[in-house]
Amino acid sequence: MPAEMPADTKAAVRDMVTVKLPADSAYLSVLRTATAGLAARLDFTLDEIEDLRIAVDEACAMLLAQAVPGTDLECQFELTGDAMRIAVSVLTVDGVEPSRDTFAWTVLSSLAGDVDSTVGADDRVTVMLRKRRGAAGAQ
Amino acid sequence: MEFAVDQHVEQGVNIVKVSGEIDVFSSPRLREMLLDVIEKGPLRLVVDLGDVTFLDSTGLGVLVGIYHRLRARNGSMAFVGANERVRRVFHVTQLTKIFVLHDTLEEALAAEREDSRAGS
Repeated sequence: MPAEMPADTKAAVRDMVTVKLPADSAYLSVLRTATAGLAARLDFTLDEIEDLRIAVDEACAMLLAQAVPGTDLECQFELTGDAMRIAVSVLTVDGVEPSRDTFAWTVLSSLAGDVDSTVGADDRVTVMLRKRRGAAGAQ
Repeated sequence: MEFAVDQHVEQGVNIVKVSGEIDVFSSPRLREMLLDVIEKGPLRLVVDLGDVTFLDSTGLGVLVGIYHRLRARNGSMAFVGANERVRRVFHVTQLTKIFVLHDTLEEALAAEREDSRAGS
């Protein structure tokens, strides 16, 4: 795959990338690196890339706290022309959505554009975030 | 960069230099090391974040916990050398309202001397 794509081709890109890792904090740095690589592919600025790295880290950290030991953390990236949608999920013991009254949620919602969370029928908790290239970030 | 913590005492101030990434994986080690440092050394603490390449809310939680312990014992805590990305995390959590982020160690030590004089 070429490193550079023409602008008109880039706008039409809609790729799905799934990264599955053990639900263990030791692997978070790997996921942060993958996030940065994918964001760079969409020409996000360095500040936007760093925002995404932190946002994904925060989403994972809050989910790992209640993950079923020995299971996987799944991170799905949807790359469109100028935006990245990320869904991070784990199987949990209690199926509780992350509290929004925490440092972690404050950082996550400040650095990512739109943030939400859901609980599935199997107690799988998912945190979703979406960031658009060039959108003004909250300070 | 590997996560590491180095400590020394200068002008009666406990100076701790942290390197690498502070996240949910390394935070427990940071907490353990900082607790040990304030147990054995001066209660005036300056944390050098100059070589910290990543900081998340878990790390901030550790720093806030240490800050509360120090305050309860009339100690102090300040920071030096944080890059723009690390500062951003302090800003979005509004921790800049309680923590002082100095640019240089000299500036942090001068502020400590001033505080010490004002408190004595």
